[in-house]
Amino acid sequence: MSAPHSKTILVVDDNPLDLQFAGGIITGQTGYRVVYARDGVQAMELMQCEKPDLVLTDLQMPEIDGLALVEGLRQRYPFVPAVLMTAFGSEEIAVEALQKGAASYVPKKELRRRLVDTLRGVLAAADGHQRHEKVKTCWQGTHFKFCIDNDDAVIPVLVSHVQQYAAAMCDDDETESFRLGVALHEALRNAIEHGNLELNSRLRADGSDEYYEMAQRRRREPPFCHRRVWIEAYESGDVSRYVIRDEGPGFDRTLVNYDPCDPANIAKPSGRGLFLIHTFMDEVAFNDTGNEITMTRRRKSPRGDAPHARAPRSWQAQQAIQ
Amino acid sequence: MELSLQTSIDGAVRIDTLGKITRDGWPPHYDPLVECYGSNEIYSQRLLLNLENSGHIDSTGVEWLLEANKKFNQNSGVMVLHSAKPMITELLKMMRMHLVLHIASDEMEARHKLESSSQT
Repeated sequence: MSAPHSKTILVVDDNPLDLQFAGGIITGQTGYRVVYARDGVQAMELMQCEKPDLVLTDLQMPEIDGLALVEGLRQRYPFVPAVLMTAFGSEEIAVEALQKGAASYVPKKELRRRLVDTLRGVLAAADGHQRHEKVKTCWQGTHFKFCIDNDDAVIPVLVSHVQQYAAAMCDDDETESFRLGVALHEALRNAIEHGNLELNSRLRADGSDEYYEMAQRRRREPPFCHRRVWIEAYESGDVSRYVIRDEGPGFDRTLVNYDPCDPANIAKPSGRGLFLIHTFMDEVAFNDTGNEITMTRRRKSPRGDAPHARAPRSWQAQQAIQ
Repeated sequence: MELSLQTSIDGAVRIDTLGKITRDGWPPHYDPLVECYGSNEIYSQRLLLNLENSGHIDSTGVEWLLEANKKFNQNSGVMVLHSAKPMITELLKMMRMHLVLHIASDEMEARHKLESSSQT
């Protein structure tokens, strides 16, 4: 009994023998359905009606060649991966095709040995990517809640989680990710060290280790050791908001005044973290007690034309973080 | 953060940083430069600190660089940072660290700075 046609592969080649050979390997070794096109033009026509899951194309063809077909597919059907069949001597063009968006390539002389494994690998990767991209088109926002103790080793793990999520869903680039990471890290460390452990930065003056010794002690001593840091993060395509609350007595933020333009401040032990937060976030606010910081960042150029980039966020989602 | 001691050339000690430049997770009295070099003598050396393999820095990392720089000044040594990634360079610049730290874009420039610092 043959396997159900779970996937459709569009095979494109102007050489009828090669076309049948590649199609035969696929149908012979998998349960995939195969449809055929003689050139790039016909392939683009079949994309509409056959809706293939993957395109396997020859590189050198009349009219639209494999390279142009890959580019066309990338623009019009970004979710459908393309795999190239290359003849001897076309490795350089294959590299160019990979740069233009092809998912993989298989030398024609190795089709029998490598084609099916390559197709399976590309389809598996494309499934995950397609699911993610589809989720992104209807995603409106995500609300996170975390509670951590005073172990600063947790900070990079948590920050990295939020960074990765923002990169995946909001397309944050390396710079945005760096800025987010720095601001979150500084805010979390402030909450633990200055908030819950009530450590004063002055203890660090002149390179003294008193600050770090006291931190180590207080991590084990009540009431400090029982205090927690609460984190709420709301991510959406155009705005992200992070609320970090500690359980300390709060601080008077007006006392922290770090201005790097003042030479006297350059070597000062305090205020540098808060300065970075203010620099990397669009809005920073504190509650009256001074134990809760709310940081907001707005993306200057919302990604693509995904619906969430323009649509207003739901009232519930906005309220959840306020 | 980890430090890795490289071969010394022309009397300059070369150390590479690995990972985020931060004090997070350090026990009190820990000095990574002394640990890496093997003695306090590091602060009287001419050090080229390669930041190429560090993608991040935070305020405690900046603080550590300032403290280390102060110790070099006190012990007649020199520390030149070099090859930092653009975002780290920007952050250091934003905090006006170029006014107190020796910062070079690459190792060659760092060597020149080291030479000129040693002559003054």
